[in-house]
Amino acid sequence: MKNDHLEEFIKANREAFDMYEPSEKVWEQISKPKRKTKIVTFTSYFLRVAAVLAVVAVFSVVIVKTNIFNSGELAEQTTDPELRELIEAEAFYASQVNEKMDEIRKCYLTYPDIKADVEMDLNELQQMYNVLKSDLQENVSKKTVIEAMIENNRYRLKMVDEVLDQINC
Amino acid sequence: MLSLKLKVNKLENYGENHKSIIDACKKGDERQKYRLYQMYSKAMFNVCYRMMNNREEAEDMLQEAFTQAFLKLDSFRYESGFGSWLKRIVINTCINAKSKRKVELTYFEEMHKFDKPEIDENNEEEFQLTVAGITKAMEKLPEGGRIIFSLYLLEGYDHGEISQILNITESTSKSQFMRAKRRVVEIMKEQKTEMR
Repeated sequence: MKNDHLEEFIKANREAFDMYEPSEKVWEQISKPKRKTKIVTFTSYFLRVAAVLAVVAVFSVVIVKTNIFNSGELAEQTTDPELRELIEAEAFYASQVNEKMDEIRKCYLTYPDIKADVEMDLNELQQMYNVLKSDLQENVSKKTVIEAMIENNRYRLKMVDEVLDQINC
Repeated sequence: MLSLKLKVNKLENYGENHKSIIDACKKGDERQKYRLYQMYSKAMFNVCYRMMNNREEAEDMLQEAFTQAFLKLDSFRYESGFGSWLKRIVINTCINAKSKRKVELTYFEEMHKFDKPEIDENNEEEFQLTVAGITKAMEKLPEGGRIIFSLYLLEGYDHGEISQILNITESTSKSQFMRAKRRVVEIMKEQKTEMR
């Protein structure tokens, strides 16, 4: 059968099928770039180290500048006792106020007219709190500012307590 | 298959001298690397040519494969012949280059039941088999069929190995090979008719 003749012919003449020769530039390319590659790896190693150092430096600056970790979780790490007190107080009052606000919000359906008042008062207190916070960053009489901030928190809690007493739902 | 094995043996049979060349290459001896390249470059270039069907691409593949081979020469531990170790690198380099293009290999359509009967035996002697004629016909095959045809008949792989290399089933490899063989004969007949 022709097919088998074909196979037999190819097998018998296998070497004749390797008829092409590669041009000389192939070896030139294989032998040439090696030294280059070494140099590239060498410099790229330093480039990589430099890049990592740059990233670390940028991140440290960003973290220090933005005080990104200055939240309740890191309260224990804050060395300043006044600041620590403020952070703890802030966390305490915030959880209390939120809990009570949840209850008040449930009553919005029964007493729709209190919604605007309560939310407005809370917003106002929050705005005042934000002003105090920026004062604190500017370091204006730290102790007074912190006291005012804690007072603000206390007032917020007092306000929601009063609202809850009044509506009684 | 016998002549192919003989050739492989001939290539591998450099004995101690061959081993010392490879050892020297492992140590980075550039002259010995060139010797090794001279020994194998022609055979490997033709493997590349049959895989890529294009001279320029075949040269790129040869360069890439030898660079790879020299880089990982330390992993060659004389467990297989150097030629078959190198050939596998060459073929993988070509397959990887093809898969990077994200164009699937084209195969013959599978038609099973409706396949034409075997070549008419009466026409057998109508044309002469020649290396040049077969090579020319192979170039006209769909890429996948051509690669299977040359991996099986010229590079000496079996269908199990081809199925691994190309990530296809063994039966696909077999049926594609049969179709490729049939098509080569058909093309050669057509070529003969055109020449008349």
